[in-house]
Amino acid sequence: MDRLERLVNLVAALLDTTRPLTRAEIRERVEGYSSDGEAFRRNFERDKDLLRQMGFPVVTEAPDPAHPEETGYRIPREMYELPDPGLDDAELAALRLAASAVQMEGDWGGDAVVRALRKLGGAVTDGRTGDPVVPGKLTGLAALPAEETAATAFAAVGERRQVRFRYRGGDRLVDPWRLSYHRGHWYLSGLDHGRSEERLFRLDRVEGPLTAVGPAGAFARPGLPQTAPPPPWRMGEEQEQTAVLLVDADQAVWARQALGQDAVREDRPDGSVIFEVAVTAPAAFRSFVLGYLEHAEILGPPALRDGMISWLRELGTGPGGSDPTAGAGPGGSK
Amino acid sequence: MSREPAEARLGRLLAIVPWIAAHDGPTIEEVCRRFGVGEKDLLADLNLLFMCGVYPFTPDVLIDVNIADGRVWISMADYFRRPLRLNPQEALALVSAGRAFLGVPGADPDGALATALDKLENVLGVGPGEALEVELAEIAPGVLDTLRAAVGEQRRTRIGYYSFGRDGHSTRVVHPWQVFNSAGQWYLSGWCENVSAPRTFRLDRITAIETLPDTFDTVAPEPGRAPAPYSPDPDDARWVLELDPPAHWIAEQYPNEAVESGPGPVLRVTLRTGSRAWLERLLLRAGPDARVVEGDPSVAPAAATRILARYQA
Repeated sequence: MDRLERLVNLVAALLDTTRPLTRAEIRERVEGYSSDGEAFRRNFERDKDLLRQMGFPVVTEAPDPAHPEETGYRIPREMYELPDPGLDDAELAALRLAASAVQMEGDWGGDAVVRALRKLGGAVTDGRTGDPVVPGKLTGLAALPAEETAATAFAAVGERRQVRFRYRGGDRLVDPWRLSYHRGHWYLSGLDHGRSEERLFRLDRVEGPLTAVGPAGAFARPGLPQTAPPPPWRMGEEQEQTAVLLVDADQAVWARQALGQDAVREDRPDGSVIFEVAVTAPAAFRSFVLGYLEHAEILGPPALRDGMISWLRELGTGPGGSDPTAGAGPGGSK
Repeated sequence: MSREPAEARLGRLLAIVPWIAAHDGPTIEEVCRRFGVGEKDLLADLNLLFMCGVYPFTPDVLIDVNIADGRVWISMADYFRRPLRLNPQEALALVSAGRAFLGVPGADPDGALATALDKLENVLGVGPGEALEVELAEIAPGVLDTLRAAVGEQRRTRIGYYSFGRDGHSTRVVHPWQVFNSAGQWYLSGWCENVSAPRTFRLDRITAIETLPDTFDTVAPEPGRAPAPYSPDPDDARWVLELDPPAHWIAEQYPNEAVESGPGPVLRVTLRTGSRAWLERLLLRAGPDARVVEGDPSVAPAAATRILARYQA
């Protein structure tokens, strides 16, 4: 018998029952399993693993409370069934168009979006030509990274389940409130129980897996609107300093974009701009400034300026570099 | 018989069955079109469904599939009345694509996509609109619209551009092939007349833009697919860097030819680039955690000395 046929029968049997079915009942009631005990056991394990991997909620329960040692299986309808969101054809077409414009890049992105659209009632065809959409050949306007941690976090946000993961060398237990994608990275914000306050985590920096733990509905999500994640130099845990940064005229337009108009302290007549920037992660700020090469200069405070100078001095001692202070004559003046 | 894995067929079949059951005899052709499946595969799956059902497999509990006059009816499959919930990957892929597209300048904030996302987020428990935010990249008003129009009309376009790699400004005439967003940046790919070669430009480094009256006829090598924003040229110089753990992000974030582990926690990464300014920035940021072991060792020291001169002038 075709494995697909057996799988359809298995899903039907597990959905159709209100009490868990024992292995013996499954073997007897599901067409397609071998009468040989060992072959049944092997095939049933494979099928059960496949179903769980595909997202079927196959739960394990004791069929008889008097015999808790016995194992039974079922798929609860309320966990299986997708509630009908009530999408009309125009809305399905709009989702289809969005999904062909914005691709998920990675192992699972293209297939996942096609499967999602099918579950919602199809419409997996190209909006203009009516051709089936082939994963990987979608019309590319944008690409988002298909990150497993982001998918797991998104589900946990929806179910309001806590998540556990390692971050910056420490174990975190977090109430996941919101998922966001900003400037090329997925972020999760939520209550960090170890620190008892809201924190923001960049998901590609999670060390190892991110797993949902505990029951659904474990916390209430605050209804505050999400603000954009702060820039890297605001994501540190050091005492805040206000950096004064000079950027030359030909690069000022990008610095203005990156730092925002509110950060401008002075527009100088030659087109250069002085910015004031709040910094809690000096190393990240140094990296940002180095992106401008010799077209930008940290004017203050002394701690940040001297930090940059000693960083450059250390790098400047290699071949091809020379410490300008070594040869600076007494005539050197500003 | 279909060669597809049972898993793919099962997922598709259990999505199609509830839809057919809820519609009064849709045509086979419509089912194929909606669900992106060939007629032969669909009929093979439906034929198999004839045989399925639940214990005790008497006719009254078997799934009833009726195919006549190019239409199909399914009944007696109450346990398959709804499709399976979206798994985390499916939910994220669809909702984030929708949210991203809704954020592209020009999208209708109250149109069908917006209402679809509100409904969908509602059943997923993440909405509406408050638990997921997708922002591709801020972009100056007008640039995106102008370029997308130029792509559509195949119009030659003159741009003022700051080259990050060469750290210099230039004016170029380009044939805009495609505008796309990748890793949080907007890009334009196209033919560059100045260098007679395909080039990729970052939209936030375009300082001026003018659509010219005449059209172009060069063609993108792979239309419809978002090109990689950065693809190393085999003629570019080869660099081998030794990276201590704090600089391992270099191996993870940039395209490279090889990464070798060891000795100890050190990674040796092989990159190709013809852009000295790009490499300068990389090495200046990584500092002592990245060392050039193959290639010109003077890149970082020379750049550091140049910048230092400004601080000590």
